[in-house]
Amino acid sequence: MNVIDCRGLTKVYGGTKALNNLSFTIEENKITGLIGRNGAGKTTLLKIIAGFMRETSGEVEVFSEKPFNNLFVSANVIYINDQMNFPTALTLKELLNVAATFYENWDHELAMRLFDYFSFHPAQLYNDLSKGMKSTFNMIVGLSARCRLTMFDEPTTGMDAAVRKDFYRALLKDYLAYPRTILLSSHHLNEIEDLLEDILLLKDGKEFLHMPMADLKGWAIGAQGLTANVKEWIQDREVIHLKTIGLDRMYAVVRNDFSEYEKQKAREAGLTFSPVSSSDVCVYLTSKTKGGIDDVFI
Amino acid sequence: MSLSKPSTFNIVKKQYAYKLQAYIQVFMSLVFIQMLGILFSFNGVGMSGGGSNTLGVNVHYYSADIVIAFTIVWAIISAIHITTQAYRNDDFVFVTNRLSSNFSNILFLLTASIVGGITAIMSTYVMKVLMYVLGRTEYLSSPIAATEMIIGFGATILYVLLGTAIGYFIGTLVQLNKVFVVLVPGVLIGMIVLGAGSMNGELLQAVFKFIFMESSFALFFIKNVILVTLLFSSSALLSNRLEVR
Amino acid sequence: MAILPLLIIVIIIIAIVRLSKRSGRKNTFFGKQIRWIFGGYLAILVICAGLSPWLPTNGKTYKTIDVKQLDNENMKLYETVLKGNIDKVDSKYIKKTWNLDNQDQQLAITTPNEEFINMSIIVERKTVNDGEIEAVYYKLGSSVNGMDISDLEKPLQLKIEKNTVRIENPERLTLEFTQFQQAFPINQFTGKGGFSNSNNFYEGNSILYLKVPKDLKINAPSELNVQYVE
Repeated sequence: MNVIDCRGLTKVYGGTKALNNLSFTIEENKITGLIGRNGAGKTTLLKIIAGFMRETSGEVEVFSEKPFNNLFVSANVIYINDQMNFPTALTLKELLNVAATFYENWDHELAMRLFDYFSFHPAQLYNDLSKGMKSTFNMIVGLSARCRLTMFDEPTTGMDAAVRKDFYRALLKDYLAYPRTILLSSHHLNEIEDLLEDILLLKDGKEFLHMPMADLKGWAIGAQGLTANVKEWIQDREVIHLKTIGLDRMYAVVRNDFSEYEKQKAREAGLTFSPVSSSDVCVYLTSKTKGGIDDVFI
Repeated sequence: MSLSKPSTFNIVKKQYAYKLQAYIQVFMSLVFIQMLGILFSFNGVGMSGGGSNTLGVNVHYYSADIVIAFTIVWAIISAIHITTQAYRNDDFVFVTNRLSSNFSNILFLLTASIVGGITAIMSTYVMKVLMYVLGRTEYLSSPIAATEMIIGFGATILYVLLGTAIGYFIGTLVQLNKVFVVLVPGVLIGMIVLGAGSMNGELLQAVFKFIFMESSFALFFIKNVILVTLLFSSSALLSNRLEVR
Repeated sequence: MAILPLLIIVIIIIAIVRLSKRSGRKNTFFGKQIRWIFGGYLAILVICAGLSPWLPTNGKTYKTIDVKQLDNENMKLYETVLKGNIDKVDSKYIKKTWNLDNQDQQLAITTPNEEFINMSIIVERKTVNDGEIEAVYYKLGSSVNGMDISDLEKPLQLKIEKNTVRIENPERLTLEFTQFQQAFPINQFTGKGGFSNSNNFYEGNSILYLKVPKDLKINAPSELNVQYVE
């Protein structure tokens, strides 16, 4: 069963297309990483899935229903982001109690255990929390709600490394015990890559790549050698990234779709191959220009 | 884990209970504005003199009028307040759609109106006790019948409710388009400044007559309920396409 | 009061503009405190409501009186006296009576400083010249907003000697009242007029009735209202 089904989804924001003809499906009980640069449309996409925003054109279905203004979707989806605001009049404890009334699958014991573990105080106010603490509290709400579709948008903003680690661990443990569909957007792909099953890469509001995480690991390969050799070798190939090193050397990242024989020939031409990490692939894929920041400083 | 299938009624109930806690600030401002009203009422809401050349009579009036007027203003402002982005987003932190959000808002405003109306009328007692404490004890008072008291509560609650409905409508317009931030006060000022002699004046007077001059409680009740229903339902319709968070 | 609606509109406008600009919120009080403050306020209201019927009002309570009835009584008295049927007048309206000897064949009615005096003088001539004048001063009740204040009023001062009647206004008395009105949403439906603070002051008639000998000459300044019984 598909939890999310997007077909030609477009969202126009003041003249620019935040989402541009986006189509993809997300299967049940998978953890999918939503990766993209700032402004790629990740938040817009998640908000449309959560039913907060309306699509400009195209179709989107969550649990086979249109999410906008849909109570059924709202009850089964939770969307956690760092701009979340809770009513200022309620203490943290009261907020958890309220959340418990809204979500049928809410696990209050888990919520309280996490609450104590991260040493929150019941009488604290959400507005008095630091940024990292706010994110931690949001995460507790997101996990304990046990919604069939759980979406975390930059959940680790402001968290220190230890808390981030705890969070990923908690997420994984709870997911294993209570499988559900999880969408996770983050800048730190290297931190979450072990967690993810699938990856959905967005660029300029378009789906750029949607594949299992395992496939991404061998998806691209880096080659280094003399500029002339590299240039000759990359002809007719899909180049993801290109960088000159020193005066006469060059580093290129290309799709790893050639045979062992081709590789052998390349090695003979003096090229050295190296694997490219998933997060680097993502950075290269989503960069706006071929060159990168170095090209700005000429 | 199974998919939960919530009913609108159920969610409205939960949202209402949640809002009673979350919007408690509204009741704080009620206390402030009514205390301010009592303070302002202390010089008397009015004075009138009369008499002949042998006898002069000055009567200083005290009543809950100012407190009630302030409470209506509070109702308008509070209703505008809960339509603002920050409050609307509080709704959408948890399970809701626009319909249940509007329903629970209306229920909340109804509750606030009942509380506001009753406390406004009861503020008279505070004034009486304060007058006694301050030694101003010479007053004429006419006893009030129980039926009058009930009508008083009912009518005040309806006035306050009408205030919330107007505020909610204005607030919704502002959320739809920021143009209304300028437009609504503009129209209000225009009606006051220009309206004295022209058509608008008559319109304003007609509105005034329609509500404030209605001497039959039953008719007043019906008129009020119709107006409130119209305002709330058009607000709900207008905001049904509004994007949040 | 006139500035109040304007003030209210200004407040609403400020509120709309301010609320629309502000995205975040800052609280000075949080839930628990507000619940206590609000609960305290409610408790004060309830306590005051319970107390207010027991508050002593300095013993000054006034009888309520129906102004229409008062007006009727006034009219009736005036007409009765004007017809000379003073036997039919209820004695409770009589403030004072005099019986004078007057052999001078004339009576002067005077007022100091030509002041306006709110009094009807009704003269009835007897059929004989017996040299006797009967004078009766009637005063009817007055009211403010339906409260009987007759006891507070000072009567006109009448000095009647053998052949002069001097009428003087009493020192002007100003009564200060404090009245708790029902709020406008109540008055609206009880016919007392929504926001109006009009004072309903009714002053009862003062009538001086003189029964004089047949040919007595009466000298009165023109501003006094002297009428004769037919």
